Amino acid sequence: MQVVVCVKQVPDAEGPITVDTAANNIRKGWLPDVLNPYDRLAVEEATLIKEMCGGGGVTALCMGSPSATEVLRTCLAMGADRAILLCDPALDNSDSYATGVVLAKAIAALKLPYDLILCGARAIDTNTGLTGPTIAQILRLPLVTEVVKIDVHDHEKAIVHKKLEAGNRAVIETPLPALLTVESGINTPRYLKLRAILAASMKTVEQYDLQALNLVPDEVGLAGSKTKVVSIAPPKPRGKKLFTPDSSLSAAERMRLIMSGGIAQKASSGLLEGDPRTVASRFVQFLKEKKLISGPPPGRG
Amino acid sequence: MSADKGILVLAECDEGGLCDVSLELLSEGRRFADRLGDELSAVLVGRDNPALVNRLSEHGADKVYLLDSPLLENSVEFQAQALSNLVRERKPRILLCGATSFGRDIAVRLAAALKTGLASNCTALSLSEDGLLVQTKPVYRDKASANVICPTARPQIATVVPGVLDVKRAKVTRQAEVIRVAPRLDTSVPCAKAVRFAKGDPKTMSLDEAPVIVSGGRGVGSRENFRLLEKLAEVLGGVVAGSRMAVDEGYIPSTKQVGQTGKTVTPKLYIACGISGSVYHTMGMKDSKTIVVINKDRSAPMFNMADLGILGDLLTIVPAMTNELIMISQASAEESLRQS
Ligand SMILES: Cc1cc2nc3c(=O)[nH]c(=O)nc-3n(C[C@H](O)[C@H](O)[C@H](O)COP(=O)(O)OP(=O)(O)OC[C@H]3O[C@@H](n4cnc5c(N)ncnc54)[C@H](O)[C@@H]3O)c2cc1C
Repeated sequence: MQVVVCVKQVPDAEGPITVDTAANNIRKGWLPDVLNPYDRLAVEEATLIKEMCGGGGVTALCMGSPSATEVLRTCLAMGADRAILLCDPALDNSDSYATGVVLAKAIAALKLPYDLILCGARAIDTNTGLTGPTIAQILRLPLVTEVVKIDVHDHEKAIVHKKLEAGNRAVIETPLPALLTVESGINTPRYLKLRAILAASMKTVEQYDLQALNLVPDEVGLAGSKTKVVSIAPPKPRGKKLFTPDSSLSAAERMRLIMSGGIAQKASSGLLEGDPRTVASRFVQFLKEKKLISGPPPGRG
Repeated sequence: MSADKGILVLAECDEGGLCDVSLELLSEGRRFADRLGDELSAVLVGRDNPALVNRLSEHGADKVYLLDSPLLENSVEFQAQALSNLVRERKPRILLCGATSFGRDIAVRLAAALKTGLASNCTALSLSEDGLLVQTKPVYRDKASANVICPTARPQIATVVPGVLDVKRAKVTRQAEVIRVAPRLDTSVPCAKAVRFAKGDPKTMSLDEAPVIVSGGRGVGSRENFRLLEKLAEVLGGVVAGSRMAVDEGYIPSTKQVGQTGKTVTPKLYIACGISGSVYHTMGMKDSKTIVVINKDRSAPMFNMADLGILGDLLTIVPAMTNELIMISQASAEESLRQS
């Protein structure tokens, strides 16, 4: 099995990212950029598939800045056999769609062999999820998104599980080659041993620019992008009201509110109490009002 | 580009009929349509149901497209193909989908096929002065929020998180015009097909996927008492979780811990039993849609988050809740037997 995995380098969002509204961008924390977490799952899965099929190869493909060689080395340490960086100033500021175009055309131009192309379900920085589907569209491949299980049968077809709501799954059969985007829960990526990291640091990361890929500047970067970020702001707290401690409360009470994260009072005005059966039927009534359960159908006369 | 007119909403159904998110999108779409002097349409895949059409009308749809073909049944690829043909023909300027697994799947396929942009998981929408759709969405793992536009390509496609927009019935009563479309599909392309649907099993479901979580803290008192929570979770089709104290006391495994050092969860219903409400815990569950709190301490901070707060002993209240739920489910089963 030949697997191509598309990966992206993203700011480590576990770290202290802040928003620079003036510059219309984020200010990255002190943590180094990382392999997009969903792509890490994709690389792990590609390696597992290769091992399971007893042969083939895994190619990690990344469009990014020169520093993205670091995430490609991570891929090599995880078991990728070949690492390719598409790097050109003209590619900067590509959105999900333009990135998909570049990756698809690179796969074609470089004649990368594949039975399967894997992508992360989304990148945590832009949170769009359009790159994989765009590649599938251009290469005319069957596509399954948000996959949490892959079983490959004889290079010909794969049976995959797609994550739906509430823990449900769709079991989907696809002919190969196909493009799958992987969702959290598919595997637990391996822990990288120092030896693997060192070995990966010795390997080459191939690099190609716009010319090598037969791409024209109109298709890529800002020019090729369909969307534009007009502004960026710190996240707004959703739904619940912001906390303002009520000065009429006792100090102890105010402390308690602060300790609880200062979420505004919702129900304390009317706590439900009484004997368990009455309370329970009020609870059930509440669930019905919230449409969380359906009541018995209305009786007929 | 200027020829593109109208707003199209992808209408989605589940067992309960039209999904709430579709009504939310229609209400928002109606507002935009009125402002732009545009038409609002909804598209339903593979369902010809007058009741659905009426609800779509009530919420502002001028037109309802019904895409119907047996080929659409098990193939999101064909559904996307049919929808992209419809979009090519009708040229809406805006297409809105729910950020559900169906909506997300369709939206990425349409954006790719129609060579246009997409803003995913939006939490707000608005129109700019020149009538462009301004799409607000979380980025960098919710650490920032970006406003995105799609300046030239059409349609402008957004998926919107369920529950963030208001539902309003339309001011004007309409009867939407129904347009049946038998899609022409290219069956020659290799294609993935759904072969089976596997229902989620609460016993193995992960916490971040569970629609209902019954969560217990130190107040539950023992591992045996946790059985009471498990029973309640079972009748609600949910899973059991707990606070750090519940883990430390050995009531539940650490994989079931909710909070800063545990899992972040966003179920439809979170029932907190005997949990005091430390910020370390609430951080992990504050985005739950509906929160029910049971505690015997009136001043427990957890009550501050409750949509329904119950003051009392969980050891008697939880079993009473379970019984009440079992009773109504039996009643409805008997009722449906009597009716058939
Ligand atoms: C760095 C750090 C990280 C942490 N991370 C987490 C985390 O991820 N998740 C987490 O949960 N905690 C976390 N904690 C611990 C947190 O601070 C609290 O200690 C913990 O959440 C308290 O758990 P509790 O509410 O179950 O117990 P308690 O605070 O002991 O509260 C028990 C509650 O049960 C009520 N009660 C008792 N008996 C009954 C009864 N029969 N009926 C009704 N009510 C009853 C009591 O009134 C009380 O309110 C963390 C702490 C630190 C310092």
